[in-house]
Amino acid sequence: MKSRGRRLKYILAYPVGMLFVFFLIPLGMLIVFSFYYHPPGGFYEPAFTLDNYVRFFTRTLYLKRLAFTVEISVLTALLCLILGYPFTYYLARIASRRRLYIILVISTLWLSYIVRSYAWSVLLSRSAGISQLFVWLGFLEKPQSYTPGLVAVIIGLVYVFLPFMILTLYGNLKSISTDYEEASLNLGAGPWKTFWRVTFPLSRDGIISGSLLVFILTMGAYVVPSILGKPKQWTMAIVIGDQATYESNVPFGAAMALILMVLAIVIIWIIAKLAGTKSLSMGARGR
Amino acid sequence: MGRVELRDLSKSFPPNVRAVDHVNLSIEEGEFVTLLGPSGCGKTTTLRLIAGFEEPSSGQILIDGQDVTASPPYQRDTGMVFQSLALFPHMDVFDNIAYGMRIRKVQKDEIARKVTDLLKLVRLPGLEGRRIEQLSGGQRQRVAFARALAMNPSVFLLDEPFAALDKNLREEMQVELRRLQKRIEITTIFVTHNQREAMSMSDRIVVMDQGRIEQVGSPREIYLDPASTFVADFIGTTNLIPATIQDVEGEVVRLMTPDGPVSSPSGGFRSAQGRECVISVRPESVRLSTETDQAEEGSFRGTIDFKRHVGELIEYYIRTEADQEIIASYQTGSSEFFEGDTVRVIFDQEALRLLEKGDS
Repeated sequence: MKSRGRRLKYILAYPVGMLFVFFLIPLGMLIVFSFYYHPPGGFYEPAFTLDNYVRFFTRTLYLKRLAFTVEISVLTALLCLILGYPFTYYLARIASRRRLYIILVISTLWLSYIVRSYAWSVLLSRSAGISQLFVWLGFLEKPQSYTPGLVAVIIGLVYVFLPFMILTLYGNLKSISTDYEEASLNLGAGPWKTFWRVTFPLSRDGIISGSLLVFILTMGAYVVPSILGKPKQWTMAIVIGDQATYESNVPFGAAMALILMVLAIVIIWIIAKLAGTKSLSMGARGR
Repeated sequence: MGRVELRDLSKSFPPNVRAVDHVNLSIEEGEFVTLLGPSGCGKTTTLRLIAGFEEPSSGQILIDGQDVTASPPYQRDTGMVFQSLALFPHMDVFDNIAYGMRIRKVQKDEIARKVTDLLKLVRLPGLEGRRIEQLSGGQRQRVAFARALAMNPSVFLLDEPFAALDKNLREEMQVELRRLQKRIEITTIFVTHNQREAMSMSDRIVVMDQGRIEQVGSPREIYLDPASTFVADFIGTTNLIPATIQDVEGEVVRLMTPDGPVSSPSGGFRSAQGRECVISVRPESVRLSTETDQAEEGSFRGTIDFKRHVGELIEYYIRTEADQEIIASYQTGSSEFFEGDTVRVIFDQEALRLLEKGDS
């Protein structure tokens, strides 16, 4: 018995250790650092000051970056959903060579964000690819550069995070039995009504998880906006990195990182709460 | 309303699986027909063809004389109950039953009235507001019936709806379904692999094997006059004895079996001398006797090597002198034989059936 108890301790030591080393200790350090003092021209000194937080909330520059980050995250999540859902529906319900398509989707993840961002910066430049194609097709008078800029950032973010949406939705749609759709057809609903009244509501969980996933990923996006965007399109992650590395202001960077994290958690909590109560009220809905 | 006709219906799945193979079947108004067979026999595919979920490779489907072969499922007048029931989990009982009526834009108070009536019909009054997950297995079955019947379809289709139920509930639901079906006189096509279920509910049974219809008939006909060794073996228990035809005398055929000569009614069996065939005899048509002295024609000698109680019956497994196994069944209490007894096995000659030598 004794040795079994000890073995259990060793086994538990692994996840608990992981949790401490990779999550709780860094988070604790982040919290502590965010209250440290940053001497001008220096690095940081242990202290307890709210200056970092005050600075953030009193400068519109930073608040604007935060607002932009939330906006672009919501936009990216919505675009990924709009682009990803029909594709995933086709993949899960109609396509015959599913495995091939899934591998193609996943294969875009084999390249690093940096490589893919630079690829887009070339494609969206004046001299290469897309702009020339638009001129040839007659959409544009003369070639134009989209990068760096908002359009390029949005295209880059959607491209990079779309596979996460597709894979999340795919698992969800695959888990919905086609019996439900057939039952709906049998009851006289055509394919269009069947989709909106049965398939779409049943895939709600996938839509919410996929959107939240893309939202969180975009909230922390660093590489894509820094390569494809102007400073006007910088996200919080870039601002934080800038403070920590170029300005040597680790305490302020830590404070901003915490603010970003808390905001993301609050938004997710609200969405989860709304989704939860919605599903609870469904049964009690009036007729 | 509710005549169904299948004309030379075939369905192949790639690469080359013949799921349904030239099926011809006519189902009358108000009839309860069961498609019965082992898994993979094509019964579910046939049902799905009628509902329109599968497109036939060839052949025609007619409902009330109208060719619906090319119609999509939502334009066919069928109400289907799925094996999984497929009740919409995001809707309550009311919304599930009202689904079809809402699609057809039926008036609101008309829908409410109809749902109340349907719930009364399936004996679940007042459960409109329940969520599906709050219902018991039997209640779900009834809601699925009500939903499928809500649009007054001309054909009621059921795909093994009771497969997941325990024995007691299954029997209860069988009675319930048959009563319901008789009350509203709806043409019903029921799919099952359970021969007891088929026997207890159907007006007619369609026995299928490998995509083909083996036999169509009332439960009684199928049981007493199986058309093939497959049917004889699949429905209930039977003894299959290989035999060779010796000669034919009017309606009586004399046969030679490994255990000696037997006579059997020809029953329309086209017989010729020397032809090999199979005798099918049900265990309840086999009698045992301990008087083993005189050899009587149409009886074998053997030893009881196993005895078991099956419900209200006792089954005796007899090993004959030619090493065949014969099963005889008696009502419990009507006989007393023991394992190891040497017995004479006597067949009720009228109950013997001659069958083609099949592959089963």
